[in-house]
Amino acid sequence: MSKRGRLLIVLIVVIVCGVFLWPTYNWYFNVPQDMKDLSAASREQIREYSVTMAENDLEELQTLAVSKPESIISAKYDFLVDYAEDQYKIEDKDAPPQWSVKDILATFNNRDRALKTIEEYYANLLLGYKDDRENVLQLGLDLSGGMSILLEADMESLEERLQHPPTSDEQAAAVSQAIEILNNRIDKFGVTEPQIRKQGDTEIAIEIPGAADPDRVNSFLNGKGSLNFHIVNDEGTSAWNAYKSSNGGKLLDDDGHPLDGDVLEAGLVVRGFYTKDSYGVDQYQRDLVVYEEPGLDGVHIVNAQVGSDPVTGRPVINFTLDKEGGEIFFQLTSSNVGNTLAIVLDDKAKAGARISEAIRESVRMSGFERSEANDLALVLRTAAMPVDLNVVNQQSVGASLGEDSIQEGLRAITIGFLLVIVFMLIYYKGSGFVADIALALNVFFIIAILSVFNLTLTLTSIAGLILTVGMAVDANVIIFERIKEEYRLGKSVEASVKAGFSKAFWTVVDANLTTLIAALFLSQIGTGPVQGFAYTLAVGIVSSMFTALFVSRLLFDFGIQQLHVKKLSIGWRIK
Amino acid sequence: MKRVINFTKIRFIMFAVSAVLIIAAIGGTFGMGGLNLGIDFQSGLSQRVQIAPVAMEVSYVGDEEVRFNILNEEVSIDIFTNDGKTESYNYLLADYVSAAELSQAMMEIPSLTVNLVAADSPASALLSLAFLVDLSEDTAIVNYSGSGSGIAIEEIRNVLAGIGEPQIQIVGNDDAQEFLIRLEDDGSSNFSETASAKMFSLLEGEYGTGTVIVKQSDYVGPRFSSDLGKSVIFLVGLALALILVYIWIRFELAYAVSAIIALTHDVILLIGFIGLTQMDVVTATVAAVLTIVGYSLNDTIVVFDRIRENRQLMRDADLKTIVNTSITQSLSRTLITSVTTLLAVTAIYVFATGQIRDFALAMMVGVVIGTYSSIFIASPVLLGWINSRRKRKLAKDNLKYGSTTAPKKVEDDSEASDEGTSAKIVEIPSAERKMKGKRKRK
Repeated sequence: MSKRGRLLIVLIVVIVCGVFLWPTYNWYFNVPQDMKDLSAASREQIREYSVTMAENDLEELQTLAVSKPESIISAKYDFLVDYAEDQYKIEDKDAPPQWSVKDILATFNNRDRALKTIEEYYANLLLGYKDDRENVLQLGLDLSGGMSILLEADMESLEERLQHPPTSDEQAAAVSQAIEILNNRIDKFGVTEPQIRKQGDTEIAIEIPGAADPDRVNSFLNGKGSLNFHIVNDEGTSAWNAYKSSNGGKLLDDDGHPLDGDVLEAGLVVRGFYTKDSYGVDQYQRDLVVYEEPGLDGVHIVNAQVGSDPVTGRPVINFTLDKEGGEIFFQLTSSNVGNTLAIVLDDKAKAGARISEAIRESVRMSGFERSEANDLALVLRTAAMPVDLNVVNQQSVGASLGEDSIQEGLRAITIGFLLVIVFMLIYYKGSGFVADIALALNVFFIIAILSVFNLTLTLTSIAGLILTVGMAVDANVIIFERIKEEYRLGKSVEASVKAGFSKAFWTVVDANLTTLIAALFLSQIGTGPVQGFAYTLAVGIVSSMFTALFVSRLLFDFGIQQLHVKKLSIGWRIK
Repeated sequence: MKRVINFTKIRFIMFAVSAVLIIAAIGGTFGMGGLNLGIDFQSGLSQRVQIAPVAMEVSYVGDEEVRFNILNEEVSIDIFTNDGKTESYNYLLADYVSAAELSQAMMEIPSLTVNLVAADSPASALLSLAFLVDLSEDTAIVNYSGSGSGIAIEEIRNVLAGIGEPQIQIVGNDDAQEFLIRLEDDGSSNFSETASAKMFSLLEGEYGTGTVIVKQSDYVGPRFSSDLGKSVIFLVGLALALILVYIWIRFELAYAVSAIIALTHDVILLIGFIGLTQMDVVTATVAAVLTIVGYSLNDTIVVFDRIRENRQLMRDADLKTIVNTSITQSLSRTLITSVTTLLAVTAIYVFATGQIRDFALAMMVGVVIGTYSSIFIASPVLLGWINSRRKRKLAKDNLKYGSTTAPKKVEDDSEASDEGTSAKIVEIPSAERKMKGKRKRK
């Protein structure tokens, strides 16, 4: 291959790797820490944060507009300037050279519009960071601290429930429902958002990065999901809403009882009513006051399906109760005709329907969109067919231990790297410098590739990286030794280099491909740690082959053709 | 041209040394009671626990959400107020002399109370929290590293006598008072929770409330560990098979078989070392073994590649000379790569703790074994293999052509040439051999 071609390929690879590495670099060095923390929160928390920030910001702006209406808007509100400029353009007006607080506020028709705009800005900012977070080189739980749990759906318990061996469809449904239940409980604890995903056919993997207290997580896992039917107390609801609108701050205790005992009668609790929103999470709609004593426990649900109303074609949910449940439901509905029945899942009201007549086992609910109906039917079925989850594997690492590991790892990498670099310089002199450049590029390539594939950096992959540093020079060593031999035979610098590279080529390829086979098999063992190590090793092998065969070659050619090096500096005792 | 070192001359001594080492390694491992299967292969609970005296307890009575943490020598308290704002308070441990002084400073936060247990404990000795604490729910207990009260493993074992047979190890240096406690799964339901709770209460009962810090906790269920064991054996076998095929295609069967023999030698020796030192066998250990497979293979292939090349170039030389020349030519490369790899792995060994340290130790030993085997095992085995195959072929040919004397002669020759004596007898058959080699290549 021509030198030009080689240079082009090396440059392209360097640039591409630079692009790969950029998001990770940006994330760890440019994004402010509080943004990182905030974006780690669940989508619901992000929404709440955006709403409060919008209110605070607007309040500040309005206060300013009263006291100093002509003051120039601060840089913090640049996003509002963008919005205002757009508005002016639409209305075909000339934008003022400098935006004052008054001008900005005037672009909004009303308070809601302003709130919405500011909220969207914060939400988009944080959701953007949230996406970024998922696209950078992540720290594994052993470095960041946190907890990982592997759960297995107990198919025997499912079989017992169903009275027949579950089909693969039923198994899949059971696992998805279990995931749905777990997802529902996510919001219940703060700090960071857990990742819940299906693994294999019957397993569920949960990862909770950051500092998660194992006790709290266990309670989250072990508590059975509760689904109950509660009768809504309309008077209580309006009384509560009136109270809430005139009082601020924290009004409820953790169980949903008002802190001020006089607002509601005893036996009533406040439940938030939620529907799924564009964030893909439960969106709080309004408060409902329900009787704390459930009218019917969800365990009585036998099945729930979505169908269509034969007359209107609108989706309906049909669900069946067992005999005992039918009796209870009949009592409940006959004494509550005209009232609203709320379905409450883990203390969140998910749906409400007005009771028009007394109903026994077979229940039909209408008045939903198709997707809503599907969600709700799933919720109802989670009560009908819970599957026991067994802990297969659980690991928790304290954040302080992770921090120590990072320090240890960084120190080991730095020292190992420096030792190898110094050794190569001493042993190979000038050519050692070439190997060192190749080595540095190698580390750069590895980290870039690991981050673009979203691989997780664990303690073992750091070990893999250090090991790769040691082994990566191997390809260069093979080539250098070959060049040395040729040079000793009395060939010119250029001829020696050429012969050295061409003779060493297949040695390097053979030696590395066999190691690559071992690394690829290694990547199939177990999960997490060993995989991280194996991927690092595999990427390292490929990249060390590339740096040795392309980068080193290029540097030698450059030295010979551009710098006109006449004497090869490739070790001691060589003339 | 450098002087060729006669590596194959001592090959039988080296084979013997390896055989003795292998027997010693296997015997020793059995003598020590077999491999010390770690958490990944033997279901159970493993907890890294630190025992340290309590410096102070921090609690909060207000109704806002408060998160308390100590990390990187810094206390941070974040208050999430009910109207959506965050207030942060940070205190660098280095700025304070004692826990008492630090608590004085922290009192500026309304509704926060600090209960000093060891007021005089130096602030710089305060330990980072394993997990941040939500003060609105719990009280944070801050420990400090005491003057190494010297709890011995035996003591912990006695304290935990009530719960099965825990295995206990010291992690890091003795002063840190950190222990790795492992308990086998007895199959009871909710084993991990009950066992960790029991362990915790027993230790707290002995050393005082709040003194036990769980830094890491691993639980591996029975199904996971058996699955892992099976997959490791299966994958290692498959990897070796695939490597065999690759070398077979790129070289010849003789090379492939020799490489696999050398690899098996390395793996047995390394596993023997792991068994002898009673190192925990965890997935990281398997990673070390497989990496050594890759590393040793790499070394071996480089030499083989040279042998293959030299067989084309040195058509007049016998195989033994070719092998020795090839090893000599690639010797500096073999040694330099070993040195650079050892430098890197030693860096891990020196700076890491726990499992990774074991991993690094296994790697260091493995690199030495791998280097040794590529010089003294792989190539000499290749030499022996090709020679004996040729001998057999010659014997077959002679049988075909009715000659009965020739095979004996050849046998004599190979014995003789190994001793490096009586050059005269060598002459004729060696020429014959060369011819044969040529014909075969064409």
